Amino acid sequence: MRTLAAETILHGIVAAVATLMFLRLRPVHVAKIRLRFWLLALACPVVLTPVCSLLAPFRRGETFRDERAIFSGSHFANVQWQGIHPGAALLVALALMGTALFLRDLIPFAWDVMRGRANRNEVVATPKALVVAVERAAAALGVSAPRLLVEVTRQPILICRGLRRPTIVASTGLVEWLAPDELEAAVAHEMNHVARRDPALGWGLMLARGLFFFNPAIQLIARAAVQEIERRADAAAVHSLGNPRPLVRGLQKIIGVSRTNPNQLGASGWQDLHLHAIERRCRVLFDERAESPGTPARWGFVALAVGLGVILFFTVA
Amino acid sequence: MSHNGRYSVKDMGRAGLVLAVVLGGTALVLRTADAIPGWLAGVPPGVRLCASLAEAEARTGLRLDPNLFAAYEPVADGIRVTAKSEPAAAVTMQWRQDRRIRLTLFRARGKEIPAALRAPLPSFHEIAVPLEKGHSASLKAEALPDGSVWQDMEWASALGATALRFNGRTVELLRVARRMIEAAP
Repeated sequence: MRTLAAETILHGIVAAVATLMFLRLRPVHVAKIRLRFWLLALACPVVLTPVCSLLAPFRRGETFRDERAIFSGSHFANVQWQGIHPGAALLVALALMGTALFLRDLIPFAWDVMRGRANRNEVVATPKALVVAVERAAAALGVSAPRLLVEVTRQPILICRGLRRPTIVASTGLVEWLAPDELEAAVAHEMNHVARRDPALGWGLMLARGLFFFNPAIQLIARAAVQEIERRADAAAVHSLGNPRPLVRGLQKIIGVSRTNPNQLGASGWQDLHLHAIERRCRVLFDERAESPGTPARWGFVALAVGLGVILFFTVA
Repeated sequence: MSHNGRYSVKDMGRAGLVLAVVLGGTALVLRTADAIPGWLAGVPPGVRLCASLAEAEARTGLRLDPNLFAAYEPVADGIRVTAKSEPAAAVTMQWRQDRRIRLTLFRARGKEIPAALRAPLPSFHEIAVPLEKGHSASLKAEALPDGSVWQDMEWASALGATALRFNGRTVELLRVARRMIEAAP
């Protein structure tokens, strides 16, 4: 079990670095394609590693390790420094890093979920502008309008949640802060999450993070995937509205409110990270370059998947 | 990408090059990392250190007869083996009395001891020595880079090749070699 855990860390790091290198050397500007690449990187340690262990037990044998493997962690078993095994120490450090990354996101996530439950009763009459924006976005996407919950707070909140039954949760503060076109853009963004059932994907990513809480690569890959899910919804919203400015203005207002009223959103380090991510999204929206998801991206994806699969098969912990 | 949205051969070539760089680079980094323990221990590629004689025997399937070398003991990092496809082992031993390295035992399943385990040394004298059970060994006098003179005795049997690199009296080397041949099945 310990070897399998170590192998998921090793495979996760290799898959993450290779994917990052590929996306740096051959930039892909379409969020939904970048998301596919990150999900591929995530599948390597989450799916491929256990499957390889199960179906190819000979990989653990000495012959495979010494003669076939590209890398074998067992070769570090005899390396010692001041009585410490550097390989084992590195694994412990990576596991601690993974756990810290998981907890850093789990705590605010759990707090959000609990706050959502606590505020369930604070539902007021839904502002008409919000209902109109949701119905318009639903019609544009060809889906039925989801359940709408409104929280009474000056904090600008707009999230999509619900595993089986997607729900849009908005706050009275959001309607107060955003202009009608900004609200429409923000709602279009959330409606894209609803149409694509992104909350289910988000829960799937969270489940992978929870199962492999010790794995820093999985934590970072899942984060990158979440960012791409957001960018994909941004891109779809901008595509349906034909103009990125209302969405960017809306996002910038949310950043502005958070910065000027830190007590409203909580001035934690996590919140700062969240705001930086929104700022990056704004830059990307203005920098969105046209690229059709054509042959090289698809071909590159398949070739990277096969190549990574082969490399990881011959990489044992 | 061309203006009509189709990708040219050049684009495909560039994507292929990037892929080759990424996958090749990844494999190269992993291979280099795998070689680090060998570099740290000063062992060439394809050679592994073993923690004990039992581990070396298990890895190679060769008998190393620890009981025949009761006056000697393996030194730290002194037990080395090669890959299983061409199994061979080398055990560097020190004399228990003065703790000086005096003997290295080489065994291989094949006809020759792999050069990765036994570095060839310039020999300045070589004779044939008759041993028990009709075996004949070659005995060479060799000089190490530090100027010390060692003796290298090598013989072949049905079990494979055996060699002893020894720093001491020739009569002691012959005694060890004969004990090994007598103990062989």
